[in-house]
Amino acid sequence: MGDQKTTEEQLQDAYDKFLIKMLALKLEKLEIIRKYREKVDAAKLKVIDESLKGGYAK
Amino acid sequence: MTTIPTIPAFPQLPEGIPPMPSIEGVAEKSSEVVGLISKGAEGAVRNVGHFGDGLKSSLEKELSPSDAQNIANDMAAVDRSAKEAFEQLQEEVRKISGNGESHTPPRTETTSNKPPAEVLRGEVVFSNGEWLADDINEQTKKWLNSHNYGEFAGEFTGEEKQKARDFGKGVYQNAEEKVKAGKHPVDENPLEALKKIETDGDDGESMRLLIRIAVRAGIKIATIIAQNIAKDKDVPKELRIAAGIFADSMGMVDQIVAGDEHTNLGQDISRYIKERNAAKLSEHGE
Repeated sequence: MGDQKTTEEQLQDAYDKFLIKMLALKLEKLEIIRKYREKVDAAKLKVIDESLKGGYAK
Repeated sequence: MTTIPTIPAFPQLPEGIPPMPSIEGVAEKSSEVVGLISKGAEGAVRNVGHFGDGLKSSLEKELSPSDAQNIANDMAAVDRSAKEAFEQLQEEVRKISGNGESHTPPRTETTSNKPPAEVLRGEVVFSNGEWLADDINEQTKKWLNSHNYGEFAGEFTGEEKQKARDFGKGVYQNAEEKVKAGKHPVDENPLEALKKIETDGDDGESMRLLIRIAVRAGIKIATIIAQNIAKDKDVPKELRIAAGIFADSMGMVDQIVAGDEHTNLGQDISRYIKERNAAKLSEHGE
C-alpha cells in the first residue's frame, strides 16, 4: 500500500516515458538524414574516383 | 507553487536535440498536472515534427527525385509514430486520472449548454490542429489527379505547410472559443467533433483536404465547400460540425483568393466526400 504511486507520480511516469519516446524519434530522424547523406556522399566520391581514374588513364 | 512549462507556439529548433519540457515540481492537483502534460506533450510532438527540417531541405537539393520522396516518406513515418505515442499518452493519462483521487473534471456531456470552465482547463486537448497540415493520403491524391486537380495533390512547400498549420490552429482556436462561449448545442461540441475526426481516417482526410484547398485555391472557395459540407445531412455529424467550424474560422481570416478555374471544385469535392462516406456505410452494411 505504502509503495503505491500517487496519481501525480503515475502521470509523471507516463509523461517521462513519452518524452523518452520523442527523443528516440528525433534520433531516428537524424539516422534517416545520416543514411541519405551517406548515399549522397558515396555518389560524390564515386564521381571523383571515376574522374581521377579517367585522368590517370590518359 | 505551480511551475508551468512554457512551450513556444512554433519553436525555433537548433539542429541538436533541444531540451524537452519538464513538469518537475508541478501542482498538487492531477487536473493541473494533466493540463501541463497536455501542453508539454503537444510541444514535444511539434518539436519532433519540425526536427531535422533544415538538414533535410539542404540534403534534398542533392538527392534524386525518388530519394527526395523516400526521405520525405521516412520522416513522415516518424512524425506519425510521434502522433501515435501522443494518442497513447492521451489514453494513459485518461486512465490514470480516472483512477486516482484528484482528477480531470468530467467531460462535456452535461445537461447544461454552457460547459463549466473546469472542463476546458482539465480536458486533455493534445492537438491544436497541427495534424491538419499533414499530407493527404494516396487515395485522395489519386482522386485529385484523376479529376484534373493535380495541383492540390502535391506536397506542401515549407511556406504552404506553415500556412496550413496556421489555418489548422485557427480552426482549433475558434472551436475552443465556441466551447467557452457555450453557444453550441449540447451534443455538438466542436472540440469534441474535431477530436473524433482526428482519429477517423476518412473524416480527418476530408478536413486536411479542406485545408489544402484553402492554402492552394484560397480561403473563399474552401469556405464555400466547408459550408456545403456542414449543411449536408449525408455527411457524418462530426465532419459536419468540424466543417462548420472550419468555414467559420476561415471567414475570420482576411484573405481573398478564389479562382475562376475552380468553378466545379466545390461540387466535385462535396461529391467525393459523400461518395466515400456512402461507400464506407455500405461496407459496414448500414
